Amino acid sequence: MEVKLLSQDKTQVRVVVKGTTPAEMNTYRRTVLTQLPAMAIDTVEFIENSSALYDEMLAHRLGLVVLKTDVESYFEKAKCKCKGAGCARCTLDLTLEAEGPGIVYAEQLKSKDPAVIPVYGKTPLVKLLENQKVKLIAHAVLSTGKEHIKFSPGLLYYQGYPQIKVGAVKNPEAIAEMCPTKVFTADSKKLTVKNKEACILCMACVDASKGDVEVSGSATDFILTIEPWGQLSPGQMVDGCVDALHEQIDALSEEIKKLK
Amino acid sequence: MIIPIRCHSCGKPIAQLWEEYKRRIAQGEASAKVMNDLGLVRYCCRAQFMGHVDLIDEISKFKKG
Repeated sequence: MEVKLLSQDKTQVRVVVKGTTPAEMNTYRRTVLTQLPAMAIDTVEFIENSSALYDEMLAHRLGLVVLKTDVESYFEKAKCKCKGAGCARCTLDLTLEAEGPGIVYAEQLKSKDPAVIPVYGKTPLVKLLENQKVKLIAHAVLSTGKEHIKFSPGLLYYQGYPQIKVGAVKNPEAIAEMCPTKVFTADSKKLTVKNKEACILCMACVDASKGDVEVSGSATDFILTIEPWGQLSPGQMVDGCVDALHEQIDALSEEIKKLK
Repeated sequence: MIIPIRCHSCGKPIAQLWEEYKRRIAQGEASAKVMNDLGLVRYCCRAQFMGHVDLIDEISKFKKG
């Protein structure tokens, strides 16, 4: 397997992975989605809520708030020494106290641990009118996307590496213009591929050229995109994915040994 | 009612972008341009913003408290 960095910015990392199979890529995708631990608010105790949102709605919104996760210092409840009772090693309390009028933001959540705070402070939780109040205690836990998608740290997805063959094209300008990601340039009535990696395999050029341009996605080479929501860094996501897979494979081999 | 914290379809956190979107739309900028600037690439996230109406201002007046 060969890996090359394609682009990297605040929201996503794109890499080219060569010499693998769709099955392997899909394993990574599913592992990131369901197996990586991240923190999120799980239960909320309401002391007062006179806002327009019902307790359940506000609790649901709080649950979806992205929390910066410190994977090193917290344990999943099932694996914690307290055996799921809830202690400082597996549960974190956040408090919220707000009075109207005004919008209540996620940054107003007071966390007991400065390392675990909302990533996007300007997330509006609820809007209060005058004399409306919200007072609550929220308990955040570490868990995986298998339990609830709010614990999932982001997306990892892939597409086949674009393979583009340009034949005798009759309308090069029109095709260069219509491509949604501007893959082609049309110089002196000739269509050339300028930015191959931007191709999303939409096949608009194939339809417009009536088959003179051929596009397909490779079954051995892939463009892999890692898009973190903010709980973990892209590097942590990949490391966690590899660790989770190792753990599962080890568990399987243990079980097979027992059969003998 | 109030802008969803995350996109219903892909799960991307979007609520923190709503107020800037609303302010820039009110100033007369094109919706598509603002969404591109904010990094809303997929049409699921874009649909959340295009279809959203802030009804909480109206509904608050008729609720308890």
